Amino acid sequence: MDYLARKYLRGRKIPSSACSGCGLGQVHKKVLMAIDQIGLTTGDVVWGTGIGCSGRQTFNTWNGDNFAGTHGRVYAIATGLRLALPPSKKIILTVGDGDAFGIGLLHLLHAARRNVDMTVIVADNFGFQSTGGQYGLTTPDGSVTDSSPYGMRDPNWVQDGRDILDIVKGAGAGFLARHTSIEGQNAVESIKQAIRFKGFSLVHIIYPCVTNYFSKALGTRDPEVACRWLTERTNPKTEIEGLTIKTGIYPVTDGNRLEFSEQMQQITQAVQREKSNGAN
Amino acid sequence: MKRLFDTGNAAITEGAILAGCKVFAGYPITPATEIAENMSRRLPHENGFYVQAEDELAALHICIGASLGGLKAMTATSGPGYILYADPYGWALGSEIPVVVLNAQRVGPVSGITGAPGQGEFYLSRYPTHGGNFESIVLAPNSVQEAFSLTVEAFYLAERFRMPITILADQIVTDGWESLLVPETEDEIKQMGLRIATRKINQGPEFYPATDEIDVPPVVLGHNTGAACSDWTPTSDGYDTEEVIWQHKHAYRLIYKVRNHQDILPHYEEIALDDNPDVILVAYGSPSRVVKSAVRAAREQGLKVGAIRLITLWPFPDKAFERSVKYLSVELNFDGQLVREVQRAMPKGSEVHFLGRCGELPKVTELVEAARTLINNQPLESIQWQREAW
Amino acid sequence: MANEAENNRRFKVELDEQACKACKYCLAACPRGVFVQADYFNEKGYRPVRVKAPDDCIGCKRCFFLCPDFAIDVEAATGEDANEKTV
Repeated sequence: MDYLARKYLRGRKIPSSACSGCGLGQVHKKVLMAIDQIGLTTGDVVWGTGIGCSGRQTFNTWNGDNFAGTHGRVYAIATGLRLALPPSKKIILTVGDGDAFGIGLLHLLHAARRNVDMTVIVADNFGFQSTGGQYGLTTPDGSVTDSSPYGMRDPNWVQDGRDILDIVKGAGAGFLARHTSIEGQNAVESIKQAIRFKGFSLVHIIYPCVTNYFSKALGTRDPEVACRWLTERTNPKTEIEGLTIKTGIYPVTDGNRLEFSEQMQQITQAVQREKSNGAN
Repeated sequence: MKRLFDTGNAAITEGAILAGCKVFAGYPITPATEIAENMSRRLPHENGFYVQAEDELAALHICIGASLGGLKAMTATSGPGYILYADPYGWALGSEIPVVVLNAQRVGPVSGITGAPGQGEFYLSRYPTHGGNFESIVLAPNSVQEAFSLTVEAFYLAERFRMPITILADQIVTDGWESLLVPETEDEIKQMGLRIATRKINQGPEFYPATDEIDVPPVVLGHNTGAACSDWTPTSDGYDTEEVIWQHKHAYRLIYKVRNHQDILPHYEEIALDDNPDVILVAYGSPSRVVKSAVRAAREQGLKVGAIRLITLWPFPDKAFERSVKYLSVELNFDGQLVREVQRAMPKGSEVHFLGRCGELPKVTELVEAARTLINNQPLESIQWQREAW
Repeated sequence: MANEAENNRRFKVELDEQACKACKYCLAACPRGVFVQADYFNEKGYRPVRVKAPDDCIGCKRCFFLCPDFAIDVEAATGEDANEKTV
């Protein structure tokens, strides 16, 4: 185990049971680096996870308090939890693309609308990989997967002028960023800002699934090929066909809205002040 | 003691607040909307929070999240929302998180008639989620006062059993106006027989014991106990596992912590059973009030009729049905739900019959005539699907 | 990350062979050929990557960022190790 794992993780699930070549650990590590560089301890963070590769593999790895929610509902759970936890406690959620942008999108948008203080790390492996490799909400157009043998034509959330981060931004998210797991410190810097942000923040991180996605789409499980494919498509200088990934911090319009639990506290305090004034 | 004249919905709100409820998350739905409204007004006075959720899935998940953080929480709905609770309900059952759920039943299926009473979720409340391998606890009030006291009790049981508790009310109980006594002192709380449990925090490392114990504190996040709770089958320290032995321990705990402690659950009410009546009417919730009147009316006419009024619906109180007699199940549906459980629980050689109403209460005279027919050993005349020998 | 100043420093690169799943991200990423795949198996049945040429490490940490299994540590060498280089 490296210094991050020794400092923050439980030994029993490290290394994870993820496939050889799975990039999820790269995402996981970047989140830990951000936590470490901010100077947080295991007691400062409550870590929640969703369903799928990203949820199952990161659940109960954190050497503090952990929870795993039902599929897509972890944003609603975190909303309730936020009311109970002191504001200083960070809530960090590691979830998948299906969890955040599919089954849980409604709850995700409402958490953004309410500006609930949480950091959502969407670890995106281009579809439903823990169930064997079906296309999902971010699968590149035309991809052959187990459930799109003739090429996926279901409009995804990330191509043809659609960008899921636009939707989350429209719902009121105060901090958004997008990266790939094979990027370096620049991705860690974005995650640090997300965790520091008081309110709803989300970092979308694309990582390679070599077992299911790339083996079908590129015909190889070689992580090096997957890395090259992602690198070519990340911030390309010339036009290329198909999916491209623009990484970095995503501009938002209003990052200074009142946070949800603070808003709730204010209501409670105002009602009680009025009551005691009335009594005087 | 505060004496109020108010609805069941108001009584439920007051009961929750007395029990220490700090978070209510809900989605408006008739006939439970008033609970949300009352909570939104009352909770800020009690350092609590009202959250209007985007749907019922979120409502119960928010409540469970709050409870996971150590705050007592509750949600309320009617049938169309109760079915959406299936997802979070299972999570709370499996992760053993205390939370209170109220269902003001209206007539269905689906949206049905919003302002008419129903009793269609008798079995749904036994199996409010998928997967099996658990027992449910469900309480059924039949008055405004009891809506108050059973809400307090539901919070108490949720803490001791560390699980979601359903209060299965109906539109007449929640919308009806009656007088209501609310205790104001510790003595008055005791005097009324109300029980309140404070939240305790499981310090680990064993969060999920392989026993039928109750009173094991639930997992609470945010205290750096190394707590782990998930939707997966847990090891005793909360790791997700695929080893069947842990599944067996998990199922054993979820089933037997309830089955082996039924003695602390509220009992059923026996009405005029001392002289071994010829017919026993069986009901819960608002029809039980008509049943009670019918017993009185029948007795006045010299008919030996008694009644059993269920307060705890699940686990089903089989003990209440030890008499070999003719039972008549009176319920607010035409398909017959309670009647099936009575049939299962009653001794061999007993008879059970069914009298259902749909969207409205039965009449006293109707019940008395049905009892008379049964006493006279005549077949209960089948009126289409409303009345039949079961 | 790799600059002239760093090239003159020494780095300690460690690889936990039992944690390694032989994905070989590190092999592909390392610009100096520090790693090589072993000809034996670890407890999990993978042929792990091992550190072949630790002295060649320039501390760019590409392997560290890419290792998904928390198996690689790269640190600036201190004390004895660091002195060796300057001698």
